[in-house]
Amino acid sequence: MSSNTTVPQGEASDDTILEVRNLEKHYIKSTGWLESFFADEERVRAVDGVNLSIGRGEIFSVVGESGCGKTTLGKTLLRVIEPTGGEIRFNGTDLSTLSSTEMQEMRKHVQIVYQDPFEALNPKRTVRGLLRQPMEIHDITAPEEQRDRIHRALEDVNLLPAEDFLDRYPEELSGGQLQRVLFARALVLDPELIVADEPSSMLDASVRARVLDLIEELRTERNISFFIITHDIGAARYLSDRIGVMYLGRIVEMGSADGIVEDPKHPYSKALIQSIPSPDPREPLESSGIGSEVPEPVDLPSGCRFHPRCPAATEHCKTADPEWRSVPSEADDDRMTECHEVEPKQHPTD
Amino acid sequence: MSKQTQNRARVADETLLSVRNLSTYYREDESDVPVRAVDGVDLEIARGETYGLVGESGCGKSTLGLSLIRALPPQGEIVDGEIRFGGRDIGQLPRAEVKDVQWAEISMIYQGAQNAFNPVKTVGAQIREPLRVHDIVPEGEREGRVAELLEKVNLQPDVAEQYPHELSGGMKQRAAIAMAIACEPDLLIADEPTTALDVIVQAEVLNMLQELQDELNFGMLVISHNLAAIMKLSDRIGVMYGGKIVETAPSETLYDTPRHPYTARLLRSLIDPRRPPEQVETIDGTPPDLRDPPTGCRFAARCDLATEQCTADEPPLEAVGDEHETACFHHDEVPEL
Repeated sequence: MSSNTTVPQGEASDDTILEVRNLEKHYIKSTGWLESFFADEERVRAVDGVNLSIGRGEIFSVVGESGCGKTTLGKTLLRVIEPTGGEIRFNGTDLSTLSSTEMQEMRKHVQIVYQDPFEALNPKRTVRGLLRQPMEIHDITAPEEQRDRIHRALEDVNLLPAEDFLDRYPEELSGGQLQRVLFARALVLDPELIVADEPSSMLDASVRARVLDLIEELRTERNISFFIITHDIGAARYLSDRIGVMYLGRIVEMGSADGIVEDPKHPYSKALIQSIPSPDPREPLESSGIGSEVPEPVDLPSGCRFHPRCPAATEHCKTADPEWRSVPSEADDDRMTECHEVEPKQHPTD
Repeated sequence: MSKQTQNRARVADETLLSVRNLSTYYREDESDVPVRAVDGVDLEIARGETYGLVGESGCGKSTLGLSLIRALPPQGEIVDGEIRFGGRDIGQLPRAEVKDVQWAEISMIYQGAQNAFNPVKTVGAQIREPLRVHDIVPEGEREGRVAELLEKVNLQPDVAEQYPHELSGGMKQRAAIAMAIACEPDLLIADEPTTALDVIVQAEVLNMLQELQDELNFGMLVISHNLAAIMKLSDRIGVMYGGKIVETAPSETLYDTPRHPYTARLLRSLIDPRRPPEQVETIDGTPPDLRDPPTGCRFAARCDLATEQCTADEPPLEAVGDEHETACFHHDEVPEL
């Protein structure tokens, strides 16, 4: 049923859909032409050595502040932005070896759903036109086939009866409905992986849950894997199997969704989670304790890149790069983080 | 902490703003059927008090804020009611006098304030503008005042020389706060002050508003769809639905014992990341069309408790407890919802 037969199988195991190794997206900061004669070029490390893998049917979320590189990471995964280093294996195939036509073919299987439904949809097209567009790009042109896929997608995102929505324009739909049109647009191509950038943060609480439940349904019913980029940590925990916390281009901690929120280990994850307001008005307003300015990922500090903001930093952190390693957590077994101050897991002696 | 002190202080303190039966409609032209964005709202805010206004997009909460500061778009018009502030009805002030009120007495942090700055003027020039218009600080001292304001919102003085695009979203939001407090207004309206900001900046902005209020003792109206953020900041909350306030109570009371079905549902749609619910609730259906609102209760079509009475008569806002009012015929049944 799934169309992964066209994707050559590599050595990745069957239950891994996406595997990313040392992924990098560096770019040269543009300076004025005059400055460029005198100044050294500045290298922006938007994504700087990311490793992660996503299982088939898994929901994985990346959380972090604005400017941490999470949106760039999402785009780099699909080569919407070309990475400058590292490897992306989708169903075993190294995407970086694909020509642009092969990559275009591959995009059928990996779809991206953007942040703002009000901006991402052409206001001059009806829902039918919006859903037909991706199929036309991918040469699915038989009217019957198009109609079937459109109906199925609208059904899957619960815009029913489909006929009522086909001829509507974006301005005639609510924010929650538009968000579902965006998902339907990805679904007409029958993807195996969807990258969703802030799928719920523009929505009212009353409809946010509906979008989160939709993602869960698509995973259960279509076995679609999700890579979700969000600053909504509540949504990330509710929805995901695992969460990665990103800071200045790197994943600094990764673990089960419950574990990361209940027992964060990295000082950055702790600050992030501490800042989330609980709805109970009696609980005081917290502050992150780390200030709010994310440095630009140029001229990165030596040692741990978080040390200038870190309340736990020592002299050692200023010079030595922390190692990515397993750490013990009461809340989950396979917690990984990179921090000198978090004691590594003791390997059991045989 | 400071919220509690203000809670006590409020009893003795004077009312700053008193809104009675306010209605604001939008229409393209005379022949157009008006959108009744705000439809008969009562509201009071005391000096030093924070009133939080929550509700879904399109419920009229931003229109209410824009009405108070008389900054409605040309299609919007206050058609009824009064806005008593500083001993006069500012809803009826002629255009020319409105300018004296804006920034100086009532100021607003507009929704998306991060993008509201003029891109070709420095941040300092823009913060100086209200100081110049109201001639509050002599010209020679304005620069010093700008530096002082920037310091209050934790921005370096050199930010004054920067252009908006050089600042991060969080820095721009803080600069917008600096501008809003420049003339030390009596009332500050903050429309979605934390929307689109990440949690770290969000917490910072909320703390900052609270500290500035402690220092400057302005009354504050905070408008947001983020119930979790707003409840911490506010002494009292008003829940708005379909152009009307359907429930109002001190924030603790509202959180513990909501008495309107809409409020109860809204609270259950929140996700507390530290205590995630098994199932997050959705409120089925869509808000009413405010060009043609239904008779009776505007929430009836989405309400599990609705009866015939609800679709026939409009429930009045009535007291159900200390400082607690709700507009629901079935408020007794809400706890069992």
